[in-house]
Amino acid sequence: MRTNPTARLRGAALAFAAFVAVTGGGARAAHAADCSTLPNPIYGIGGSATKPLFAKVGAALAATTPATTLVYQAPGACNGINAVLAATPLSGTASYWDTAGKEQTCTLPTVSGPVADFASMGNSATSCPGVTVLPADVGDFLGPVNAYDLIVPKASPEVSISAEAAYFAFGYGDLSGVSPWNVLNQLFVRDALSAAQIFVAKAIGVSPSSFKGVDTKSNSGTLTAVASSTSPANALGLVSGEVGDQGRAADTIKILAYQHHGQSCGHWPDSTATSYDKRGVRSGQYWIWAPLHFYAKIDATTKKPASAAVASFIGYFTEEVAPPASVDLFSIEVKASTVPRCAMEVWRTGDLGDLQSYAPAAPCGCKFDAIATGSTTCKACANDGECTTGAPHCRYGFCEVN
Amino acid sequence: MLRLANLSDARRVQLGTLALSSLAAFVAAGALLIGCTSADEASPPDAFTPDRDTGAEVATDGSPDGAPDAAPGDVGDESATDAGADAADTGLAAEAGDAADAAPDTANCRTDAGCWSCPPTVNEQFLNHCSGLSCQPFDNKRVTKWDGGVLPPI
Repeated sequence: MRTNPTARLRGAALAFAAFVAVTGGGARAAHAADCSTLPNPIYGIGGSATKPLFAKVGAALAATTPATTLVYQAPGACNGINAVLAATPLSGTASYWDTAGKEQTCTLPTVSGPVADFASMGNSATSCPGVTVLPADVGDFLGPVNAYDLIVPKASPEVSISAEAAYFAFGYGDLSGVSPWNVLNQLFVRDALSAAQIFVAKAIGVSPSSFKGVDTKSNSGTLTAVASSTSPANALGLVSGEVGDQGRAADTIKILAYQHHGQSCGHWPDSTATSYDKRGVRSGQYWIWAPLHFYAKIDATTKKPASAAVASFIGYFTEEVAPPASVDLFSIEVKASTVPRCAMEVWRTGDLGDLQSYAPAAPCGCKFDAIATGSTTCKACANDGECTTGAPHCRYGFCEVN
Repeated sequence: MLRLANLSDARRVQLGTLALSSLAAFVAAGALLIGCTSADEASPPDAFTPDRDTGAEVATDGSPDGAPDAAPGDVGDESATDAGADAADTGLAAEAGDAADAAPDTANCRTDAGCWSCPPTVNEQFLNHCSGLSCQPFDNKRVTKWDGGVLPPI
């Protein structure tokens, strides 16, 4: 059913694992704990885009009774799914988060380490090189929606970019003919296994493996490179929306409005360049977004993750399992710049697939606005009786129409 | 399409008296909401700053003043209304459904401002629908190696 990942990709994954082992994956390695000694560890691997979200979820789960520890390696989206498909033992070091949300490092065995319980990534598995079909024993579970951003330094005068401009910039580099994005060492990119690059590539029509520019190795690497560019007028990078918003909040970068093929005006993920309401994503006018994917081995009968602990963990994100009472996952997701599906007004199938109108069974747009922007025009409620006929359903504390 | 229209209705109702006072007021509000607002209009309040690790205040740098060649006027079909801030605040991105309710004939769905005022059903309509969201056009004349046709192979 599945075409196995190529030997080249397995080699790349192993090489990256070795890199992580040597470098500590970017986290501090001194006096690291043995991962297996942490309370009820759940092991994940995948893209770096989800780390801001996982930091908050990991901290919340660490504070529950009994505690659960989210242990995560972020070698890149496609390295994550390949590790799950090949059942590659984790090795080196990994991140986990303490109850204060502080990222910590733990060590994994050099040999015979645990196999990842799940892979997390922005793109679908089949957008990764070498994966043509998902095997029947691996499930694909969709979490909250994430945007992918094109960013420039705060000092850049640019505010928007078209798909065509990005095509020439990333496809031709210093020969792009699109000023000011024609300086090769000011184009900050990733490799073909990165979800951010896979999505931007698909949007603008450049192969993920053909991007011109400097490989920053991670979303945070791109953020740093763009923010600290010595030539801010020329700098351009691509990042996950969670990380882009981190940079925006730190006042070091700007997210460009993106004008897709056939679109007459560029839109931001939000209603304006400075807001955080994700109106552009939720309405579909900002093109580059997708739900997060969780991949895990599944039970042949239930089609749910075979491990009960993993089923619960992933279920929190798919809205199928209520998280522990002390874990406000909805707020965590919103504050991590992701959009719970119930707040979406459009949906799509597949990576950057066609848009379609979407009306969730229990919409949460009012609550999303309240948390994301600090205000909502919706009426607060405790039950349906407190709502009026125009918006008769009390959902998540606010009166909604449906 | 119907569901999107319903969502619009919901948000309209949630606005309270804005759209319900009279049919005339409703039509007027719908007209104001057609089109994508230019980015230099008032932004909604940013009461919340996500990923607050830095605690830094979000910059209000959404002005297109710095855009060298892409002033909103360059693509006049999307600049239109002064209702953008309110629309964004209240989630009226799908307000296009109002126009559709009144004029289901899709031949009239493309407004003078160039946006799609009926409930969208295909990508091009979703991307260009009259949402009230701020937007910033990019002037593709800046893409000097593109003649507007098929993009050349990399």
